[in-house]
Amino acid sequence: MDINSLHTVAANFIILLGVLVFVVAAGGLFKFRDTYQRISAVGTAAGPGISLIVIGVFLTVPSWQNAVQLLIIIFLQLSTSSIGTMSIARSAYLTGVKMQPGYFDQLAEDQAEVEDTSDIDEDGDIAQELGKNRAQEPPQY
Amino acid sequence: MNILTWLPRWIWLIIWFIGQIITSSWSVLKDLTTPGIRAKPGIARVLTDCRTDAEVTMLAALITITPGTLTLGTDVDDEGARWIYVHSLYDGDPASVADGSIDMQNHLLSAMRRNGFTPQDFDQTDRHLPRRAAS
Repeated sequence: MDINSLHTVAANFIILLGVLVFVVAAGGLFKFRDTYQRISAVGTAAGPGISLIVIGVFLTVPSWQNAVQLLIIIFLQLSTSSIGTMSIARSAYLTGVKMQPGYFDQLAEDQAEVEDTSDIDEDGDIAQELGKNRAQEPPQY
Repeated sequence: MNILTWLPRWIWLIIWFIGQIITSSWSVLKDLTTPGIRAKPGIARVLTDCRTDAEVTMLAALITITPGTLTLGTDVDDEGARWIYVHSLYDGDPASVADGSIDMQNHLLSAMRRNGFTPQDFDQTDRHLPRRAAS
């Protein structure tokens, strides 16, 4: 086996790894149940999956020009896929999509605490009590 | 740890991260090809050692790229410490989500900081986000 066919084999192996990542993502899209699990699976395919395939394609036609293009593609692909995944998952959370099933949710606990403290005024009194007192006072003109 | 080892530390981060992607892809693939779903999803809060927004952004991106984990948000508390909220498929309890994220963070920060980073060994389980001052 000469050098030429050896690096073709390596290139095809890496492309197949990328295809495997896509298969996992597609399977996860069907099998998982809620938004977070599904977007987690798809984000993986859009980032490392495409990167692996492009690396494999680069190995079949290696050159310095292609190496520069490869680095740009991988950087843009990984950054955009991760940021897109995070924004979709975050917007799903902010619009109140529930996890099914959800075993623990510490973000909801902390959100509830922040809402509790926001009811407290600068004086430290609770706004609800202030409102009650104000209702009992006679109106001043 | 000095500037001479900076480039090797970046290369080690990339190699380690490719290994992480392969192992976590494998665990997702195993779950998909066997009947039933073993996933125990949940959202955990993690206290990070990140000092700048760039560091916490990189950490969130790496966690999101890894199959099975997903960053949902960040927060800065009164003491200036940065927290992230991580959704995880297979960890099952908040403590092991925190362990995985802190492992990722230690590798990332030792590559990103010019003078290196020595990980602090603290317990994440009882950590709690300090209440914000009412303003």
